Amino acid sequence: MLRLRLFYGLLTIVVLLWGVGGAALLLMNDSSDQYSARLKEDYQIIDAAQSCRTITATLNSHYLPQLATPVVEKPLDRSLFDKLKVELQGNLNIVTNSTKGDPEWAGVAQRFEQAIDIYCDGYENYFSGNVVKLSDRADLLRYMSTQTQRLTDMSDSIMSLGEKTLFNGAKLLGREAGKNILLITTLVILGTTVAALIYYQLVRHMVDPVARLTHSIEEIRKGNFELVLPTPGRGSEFISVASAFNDMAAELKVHRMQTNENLQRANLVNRAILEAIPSPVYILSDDTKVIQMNPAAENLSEKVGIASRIPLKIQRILDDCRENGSHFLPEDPREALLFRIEEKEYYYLPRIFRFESENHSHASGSGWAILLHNVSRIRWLDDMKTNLIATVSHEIKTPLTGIRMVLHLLMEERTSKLDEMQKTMVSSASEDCERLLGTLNSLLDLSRAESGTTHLTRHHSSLQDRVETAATLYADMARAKNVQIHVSPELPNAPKVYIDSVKMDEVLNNLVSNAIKHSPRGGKVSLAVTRPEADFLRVSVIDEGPGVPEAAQSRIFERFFRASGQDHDGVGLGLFISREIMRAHEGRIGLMERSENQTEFYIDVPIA
Amino acid sequence: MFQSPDSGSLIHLATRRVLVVDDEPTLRLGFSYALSNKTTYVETAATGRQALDATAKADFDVIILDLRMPDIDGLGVIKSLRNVGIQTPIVLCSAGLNSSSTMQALLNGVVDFLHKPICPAELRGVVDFILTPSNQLFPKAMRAAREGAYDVAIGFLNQAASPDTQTTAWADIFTLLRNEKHKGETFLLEQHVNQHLNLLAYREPGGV
Repeated sequence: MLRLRLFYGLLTIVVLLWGVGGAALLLMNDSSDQYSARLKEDYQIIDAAQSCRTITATLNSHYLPQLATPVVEKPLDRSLFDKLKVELQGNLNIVTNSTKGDPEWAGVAQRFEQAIDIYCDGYENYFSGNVVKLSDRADLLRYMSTQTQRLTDMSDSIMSLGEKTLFNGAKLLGREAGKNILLITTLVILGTTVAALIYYQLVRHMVDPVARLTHSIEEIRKGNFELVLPTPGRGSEFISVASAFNDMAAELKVHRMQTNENLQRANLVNRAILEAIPSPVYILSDDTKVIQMNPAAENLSEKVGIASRIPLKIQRILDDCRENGSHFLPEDPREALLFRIEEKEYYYLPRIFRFESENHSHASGSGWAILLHNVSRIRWLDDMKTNLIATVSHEIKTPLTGIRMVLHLLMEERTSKLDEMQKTMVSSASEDCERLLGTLNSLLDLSRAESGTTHLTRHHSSLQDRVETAATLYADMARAKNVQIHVSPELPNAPKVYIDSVKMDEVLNNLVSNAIKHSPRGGKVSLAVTRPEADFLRVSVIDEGPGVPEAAQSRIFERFFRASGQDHDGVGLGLFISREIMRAHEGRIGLMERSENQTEFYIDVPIA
Repeated sequence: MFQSPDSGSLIHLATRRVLVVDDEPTLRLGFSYALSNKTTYVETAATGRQALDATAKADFDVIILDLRMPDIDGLGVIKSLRNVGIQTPIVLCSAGLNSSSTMQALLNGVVDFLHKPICPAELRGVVDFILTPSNQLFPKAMRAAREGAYDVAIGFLNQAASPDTQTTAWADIFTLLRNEKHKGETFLLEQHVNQHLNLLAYREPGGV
């Protein structure tokens, strides 16, 4: 359809072009013909008039001189006259014929004819031979010259008239040419109009749809799916495009609506979940700006007095997480942070994790989520338990010390001897008493570890000193078992560590006593301070004992855990307490993989 | 007020008077039996109040004092006694000795500690250690310290040819206690006490 329109439009322009060209050629040809005809005609008259003057001059110069002389007896030769008279007559005819009904011309032609007739009559008179007398001849001469003058004047006036006519003709032709120009101008204007029309049509049928399409695509890109392209007329190449586009827009709209619905539902579900979670939840963008927070979080922030921000303590942990690109997902309620709200203490365990969409290019698809798990009650219960254990242990321990004292006195047999049976019973009771005391001491240690590790009294100390103190402390015990304790010489330039020496001693004592306990007779226990990495010092305690059974390795740091087949005392709290102390120091305690029949326990103490 | 160890005549020995203060009846009984003999008289008190009444009525050579008691606790008794000018040697005997109570005791001139549970031998040992010290440097130093002569005590301790951890710990503490009289800084003392808490209690010679 569009192709046809284009073809017709261009055809019209071509036809017009041809028409204008042809017309211009024809008109040019025609006006040039007219001009030459006119020129010829008018020039004939001028020529004739000119010729008349020539003829009269010829005649006058031939004949008139004789008039000035007396009569010569000789016949007058009139042959020239006759010949020239015919020519004169011919010229006269040309002039007469050229009048073309113009009254002015007719008058002039008539007067010209009369003048020629009068002029010829003079010569006829001359040739009649009647003019013999000198006076007559003079008269005739005078007459002839007058007539000649008149004829010459006539010729002049005819010539000027002819020129005038020629000029008029030129003017006429000019007017004719003006008409031609008008015609061509009209045709050109017509052509321009048609071209404009075609342009308009083309724009309407070709450019407009494309522009509309572009606009619509732009609108859809902006999310305006309501826009529909108008269907073009039948046969337009744009029908398919427009309908395809409208289909696409409609589908996009449906899709968008579905997506919107899904999003809305997801949003609602999310909000419901967030609102249902009693723990404060913050959702943050990558630059830690709070994007979303649940009512619990708003409540907390408000009460802490930092509306719509995250508490500073958490910000610090978050900054660490961002720096290391790691999550922060502690399990232990003892890592909870203390918040004072309305003069009450609340413990929140912060759990910080990073989320990221699978599409990494999407900047808004990542951020941080912070959940503050309220562990106040757990902490409270834990404290209660610890306090209960401590109180009960103390309450039991106090009378037990009395019982123990009495049993010892009995066994001393200072006042009276015991018989064998009494002795057995008393010593059995004493053993039980010792065991019970041991358990109570462990329980007290546990409660002390659990309540006390958060309150470290830290000072800058030398780790080597602590190791040597422990070695000295257990020298007797080692000697009793014929175990040699070897302490490696101090590391050169070893930095000081920021520790609670008493607590650290407890850890070291525990490790050293364990190592001695598990050493074979005559074995060696090695103690060494090393610096495997820049930011911590390591104390290694190595013994040559049988090692920790594989099944037990993962559990030795749990409370009350004792590896099976162990015949030593203790209730299995030593390593647990040690771990708690190391944790409070932000350090580590661990068991190395067994090698060369050696068991190595180590603690990593951060350098201040 | 208390027996001069050097004038160790039989008559004097026969008049050793020990006050045992503990709220635990069995322990009081045990302590009495453990200490009582021909030369030692033991009196008991169940509370801090009773202890103060007993010391007001009669003089004692040694007081074995429990820390945790219902009415007036051990530290309260120590302060009350020192306030009325009674400088009797006191053995603070408790299962729950911590750095702050130990430090309070030290500041009141108490340098003998027993860590419960104890056996009769230790109890007798500590009483002998106080009342009839041997001629060794450590018991002499402790005796000087009991009298408030920290410089003398430090001097004895520094004479030790191969000082063990207990000796150096006490030397440090006495130095701090001596300085404490001039300055009011208990911080270093508490830190030190905290570090050496295990070394301060009386230990039977030869025991671990």
